[in-house]
Amino acid sequence: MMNQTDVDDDSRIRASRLGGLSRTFGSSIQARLTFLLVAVALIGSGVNAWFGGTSMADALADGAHAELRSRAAGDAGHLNVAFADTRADAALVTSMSAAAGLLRAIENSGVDPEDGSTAEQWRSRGESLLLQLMKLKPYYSAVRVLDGGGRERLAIERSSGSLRVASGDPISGSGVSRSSSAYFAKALRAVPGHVHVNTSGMKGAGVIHVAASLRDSSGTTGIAVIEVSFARLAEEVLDMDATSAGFVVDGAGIPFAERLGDEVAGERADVLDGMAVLASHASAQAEGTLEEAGWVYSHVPLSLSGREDESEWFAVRAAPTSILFADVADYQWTVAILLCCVLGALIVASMWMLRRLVVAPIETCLATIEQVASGDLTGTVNVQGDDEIARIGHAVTRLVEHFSGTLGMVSSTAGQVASGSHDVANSSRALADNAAQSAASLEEMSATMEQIASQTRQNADHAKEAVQLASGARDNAEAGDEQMQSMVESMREIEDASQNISRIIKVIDEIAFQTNLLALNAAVEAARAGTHGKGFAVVAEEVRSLAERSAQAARETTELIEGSGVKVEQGRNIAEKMAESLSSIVESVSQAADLVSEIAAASSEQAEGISQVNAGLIQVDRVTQKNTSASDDMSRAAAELEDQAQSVRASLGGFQLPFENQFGIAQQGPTSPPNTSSSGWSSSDAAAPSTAIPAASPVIDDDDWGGMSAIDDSDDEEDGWGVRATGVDTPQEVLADEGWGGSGSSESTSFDDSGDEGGWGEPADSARSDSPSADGLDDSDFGRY
Amino acid sequence: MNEETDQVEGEVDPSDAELDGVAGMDHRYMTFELDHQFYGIELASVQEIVRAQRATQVPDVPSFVRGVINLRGTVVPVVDVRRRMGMEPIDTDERTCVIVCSFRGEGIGLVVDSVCDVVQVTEEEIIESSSGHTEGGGNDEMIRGLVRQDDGVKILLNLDEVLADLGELESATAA
Repeated sequence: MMNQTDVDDDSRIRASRLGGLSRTFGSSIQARLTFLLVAVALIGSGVNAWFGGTSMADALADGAHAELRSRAAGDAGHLNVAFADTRADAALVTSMSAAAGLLRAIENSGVDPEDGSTAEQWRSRGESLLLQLMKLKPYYSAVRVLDGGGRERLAIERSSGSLRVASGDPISGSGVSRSSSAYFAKALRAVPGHVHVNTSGMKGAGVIHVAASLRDSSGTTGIAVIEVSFARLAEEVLDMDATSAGFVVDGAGIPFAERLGDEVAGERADVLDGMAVLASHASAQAEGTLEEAGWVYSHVPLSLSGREDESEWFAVRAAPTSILFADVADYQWTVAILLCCVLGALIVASMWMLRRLVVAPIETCLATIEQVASGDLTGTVNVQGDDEIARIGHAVTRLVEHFSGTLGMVSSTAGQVASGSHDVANSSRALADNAAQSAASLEEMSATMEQIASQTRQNADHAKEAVQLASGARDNAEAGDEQMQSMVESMREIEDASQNISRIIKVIDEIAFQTNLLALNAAVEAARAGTHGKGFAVVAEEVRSLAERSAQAARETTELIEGSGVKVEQGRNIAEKMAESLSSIVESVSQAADLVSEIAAASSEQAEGISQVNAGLIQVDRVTQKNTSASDDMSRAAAELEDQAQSVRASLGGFQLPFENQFGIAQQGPTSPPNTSSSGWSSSDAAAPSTAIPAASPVIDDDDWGGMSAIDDSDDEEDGWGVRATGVDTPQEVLADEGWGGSGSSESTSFDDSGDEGGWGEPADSARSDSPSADGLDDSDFGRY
Repeated sequence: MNEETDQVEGEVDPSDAELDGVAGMDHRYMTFELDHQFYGIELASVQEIVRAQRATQVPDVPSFVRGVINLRGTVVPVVDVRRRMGMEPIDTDERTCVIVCSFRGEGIGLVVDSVCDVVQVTEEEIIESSSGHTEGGGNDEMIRGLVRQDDGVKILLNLDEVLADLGELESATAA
């Protein structure tokens, strides 16, 4: 029970620790693993997106930059071409004969000395030419021809979309003097194609003057100027793009022309804020890109005068990063959304797999374990497969099976212990009764032993008389043997006499033969004699018949003699056998005499032994009285053991076992025989642990019963069987101290020496048969008493 | 034995002998035993009966001649009748006798197992054996006939035929 409490405390502590974690990551393995999965997926995809997306965004940004730069370059190209055209136009005007002729006519007071044309004529010609030019190039705001003094002689101006001839009177010279203009001096100093930018007309009204000198054989006579309206030029030339703004700026970043796309039209001020930075940057860098304050500027230097080293003008394209990098942002968003979708799908799939592969089997195991924890041991874990969780499930199933088997066994064992202790209590009471009966029997035995002692002494006296009788019989037998020897001798003499008679008979037979021969010869002689020999023949016949009869008598005598010889031989053999028998009788009689004398000695020793047995019986009586009190104590102890076994079974009653029928048999109580439940176990399900079946039998082993029956009477402690177990061996030791064991052994050895063991065995048998409860006790222990 | 003896006594009754006369002498036979069979020869040709004694062997004689014995100074040739009759010879014992017969004026000894008796045989009792219970052999002529009497069948031998070869031999020896 202490261990159980410790385990509960440990599990509670562990559960509280885990509770902290579960509050953080969710209460189940699924939630925790999902969190882990999501974190890993996010980190992985983030890293991937960072590496892949950055390079992609860089590439996209580079593309946007390049596009912007190409737009700027396109603007610059268009402007350069336009200015090249303008320079060509200026050269065309200077080479125009009308201009030269007008100037000559004005100089020569209205008439051209070369061909006689008047200034008016030249002017009208020139005006028509210039008008055509102006119509061709809408971004020309004016074309002027100035004389050497700077006075305007020929001019076409564009004013609010319509062309106007603004030439002064060529004769009076009333033309506007533009000698103060910066380009005039430069153009007059014969710098052909000089471009002068008049910055006075800003904000779309900026004008660029392209001036070329008019020359004739005497030298420079004037200049031709084409005024280019930057605003119109921008409208004409600059690429119209909805998402960017095009500018033409000078080295200080002041815009001279601009074209704003629809989407950036409202942000002009913002664009111009970055121009100053661009100017400082662009001075060092002929061509490049700058990103500043949410805008991207790409600038390309212009060559308005046709010379490459001029870099004080730039074509600039500006676009807001928000628009420029919209693709990048789109890409990044697309990637992010796609990633999120894939991740979400992956997480859902993995959660499903997790649920199916890990969590569900674990929950199956958990359900069974909780079932077991609540005391129901009938559950099994149904998990397919052979992975770790399935093995956990199988292990749990086996554990539950073992546990239920063990519990069933413990329960049945407790029932057996209960019934056994009940039996022990009964047996102890019976033992006490028997001990009382034994005491009575012992007194009777003591009286009987006295009688045996007197009978034994009488036996000794009779044995001594028997010795004397046996010696007398031996003497008689020896005398008979001697007489038999003399009889055998007489027989031998008779045999010799018979042989002598036989020899004599042989002689008689020989004589009879020869007589027969003689008689035959006599008969022959008588036959020879004829009638004279007739009487002689009769005598010969008589003699021959006598010889025949004597031979016959000799043969009969021989037969008789031979028969008597055979009989004498038989008599002699019989006599010799009788002599041998007599000798063996003599030996047997002397051995019997020895044995009888030994019996006499043994009987006297037996008498002594019987008196010792009497002393032992008195001690047995004392021990029997002690046994009575010990049996009472044992009865109490057995009752307590039964109570404890019942409490074990009661505590086991909380468990529900799969083998309810065996359990029920085991619960029938002490009246049921112990081997019923064990046979029930052996015939139970094959899944029941077969090795546990023999383990049940030692519970009712005789040794244990013997130990139980030997509980010391001084053992008054009621708590704990271990103490009782240690006291098992004490009774024998106590008895040994009282000297019973030693005296018993010495007596048994003395009886062994006397050679009469039957007398000692019978009391033991009677004592065993006197106790009705002998079958409930250990035989070896009983035999020891 | 006693009856036989009585019978013998009866045969030698003087009245019978008287009745037969001299002619009856021809019908008395000396019987002897060979291999448990009784044989007989005419008593008239018998000279003497002696116990067998050791015979001196003589070379170049028929196989049935044992040799010669000295009978009171006379050399008598001895014939083993067993061998002469084609039977196995046996050793001489105390019953073995030699019947000395007179054959052509000479004494010839016949060695027999034992000598039995002198019997009287009438002509009617003799059964001629020439009709042949022995076929064609030399023994046929040696047997004169058979006599059935109370104590069994006796074979009567023709002594001249038994000793015929010996006669030739003796004549040759004499020559």
